[in-house]
Amino acid sequence: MIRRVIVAGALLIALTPATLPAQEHPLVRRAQQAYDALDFTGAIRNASAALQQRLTRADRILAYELLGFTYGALDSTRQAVEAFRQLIFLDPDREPDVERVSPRITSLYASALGQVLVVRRLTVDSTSIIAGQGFVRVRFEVTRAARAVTRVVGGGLDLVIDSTLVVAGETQVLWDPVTVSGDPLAPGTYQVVVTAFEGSNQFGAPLDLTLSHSSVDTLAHLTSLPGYTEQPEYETPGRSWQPLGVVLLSTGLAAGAAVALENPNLEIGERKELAGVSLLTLIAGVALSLKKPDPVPVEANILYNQLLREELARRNADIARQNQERRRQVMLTVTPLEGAP
Amino acid sequence: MSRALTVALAFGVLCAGSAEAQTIRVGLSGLGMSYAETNESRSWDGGGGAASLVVRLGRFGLDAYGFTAKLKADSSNVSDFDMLQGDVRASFFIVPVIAVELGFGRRATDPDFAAQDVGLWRFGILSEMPLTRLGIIWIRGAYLAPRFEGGGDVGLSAEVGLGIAVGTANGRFRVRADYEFQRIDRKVDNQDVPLQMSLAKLGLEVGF
Repeated sequence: MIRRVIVAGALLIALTPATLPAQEHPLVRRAQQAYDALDFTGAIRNASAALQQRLTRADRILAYELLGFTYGALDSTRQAVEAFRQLIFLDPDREPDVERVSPRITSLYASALGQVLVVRRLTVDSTSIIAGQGFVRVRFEVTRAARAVTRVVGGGLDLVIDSTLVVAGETQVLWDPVTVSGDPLAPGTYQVVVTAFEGSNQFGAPLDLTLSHSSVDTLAHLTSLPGYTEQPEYETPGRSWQPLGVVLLSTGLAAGAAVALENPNLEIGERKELAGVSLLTLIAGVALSLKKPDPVPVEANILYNQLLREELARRNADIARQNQERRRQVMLTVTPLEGAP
Repeated sequence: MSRALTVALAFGVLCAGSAEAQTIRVGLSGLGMSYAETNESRSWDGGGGAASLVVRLGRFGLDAYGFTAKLKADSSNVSDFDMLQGDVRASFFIVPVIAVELGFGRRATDPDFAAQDVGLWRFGILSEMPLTRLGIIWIRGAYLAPRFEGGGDVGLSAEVGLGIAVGTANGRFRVRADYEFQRIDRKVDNQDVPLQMSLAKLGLEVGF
């Protein structure tokens, strides 16, 4: 029997942490029930009493929100604004749902927001950059004009990455995740902290993020230039009868001149030397005309191809230089942590 | 024959200084020829061999050849003899296919006085036209200024040539055929004693 009780108790203890966030302080729960029942006096009493107790952050936020809403419903402007101010200090990013809350209450919330100095909506884009060649955008809002100092804390470092006067509204800071000496920050978990200063008032908002390293992709070498193709450097011209024409003309001229020069007073003979060589030249002329012409170089195409190859070589040399540089570079990936405040 | 070889070798030595010439070719040929002089009764036919040297250096050219031939008389009234001849032509190409030529030649017989020995200067034109990368054809014509050992006046004297060479694309080997016709009109004591020669050669050239 005792053993069963111990096991049941152990089970209850094991399940308890998972159900804790859903639990509220009894006074806060009663204040919520009173507010839902339009019992504003009860809601104020219970919420105020709860705030005198030791509450979790969530319960404290809920208690101030109930107080603000209740005072707003009762037209108690000053108390409502004060409750919203406390709420904003606790959870600057919390805003009344305009779809569900009356405009009167949202205007009271806006009035409270204008009276306090807080940093809200601190966000960092998830991004990958080459160290030293890009920036991470840090965005935040301040509710009043102030000096905003942005720092990165972690890994034994506390670097101020920006300090500037900003007006109320959204502001953006560019962060180059490198050390003072220009080396990329070591991989790990860091916190971006934006602190707004206005006179003696100050408010800081942190955001956790992780930074990881990876190698930079290298570029592939080109085998051709896109949109450009090499032209044939040799072309075979069409068949030409020009060799035979030249042979006929030359042979005719020489034979005619030889015959014309013959001395009639001497033995002319059979002109077999002239006939023999003329026949050989004619045969050669026919053969050279019938033979498929040899490919001839096309100067324009050769020059064009030469230019293409030079351009290709130049680009590949550039790529090789870039790759050499990229192999020395580090790709930094910044990722905000889930559930970061 | 020995004179012809001597002439060819002499020009080979002369051209040795231009070993980087664009083209140097040496060749051997067989030849057939007809020769006639004085009148219809004095004519000969025969054949022999020839050696040639061709140099082309930029716009300059040199053609030298020598031959020897055994000539048989067409009639029984005259005797057979051997003919030895050497010719040299230097050319300058004024345009890519046209050159002016200047040269000299010497023709001798063995035995002596079997026919007329002649020495001559020539001035003419050469036209050399490529047919394709494999072949080339040329024609030439020249005015001749001969001199005779036996004296005499000179009338019309000219020569005409035709040749073709076909070979490998790199120019290393070529088959060459050429024809030459030469007429020299000579007068001795107002008597016509003309000379006429017709020559055909077929041979092989090697280029360097």
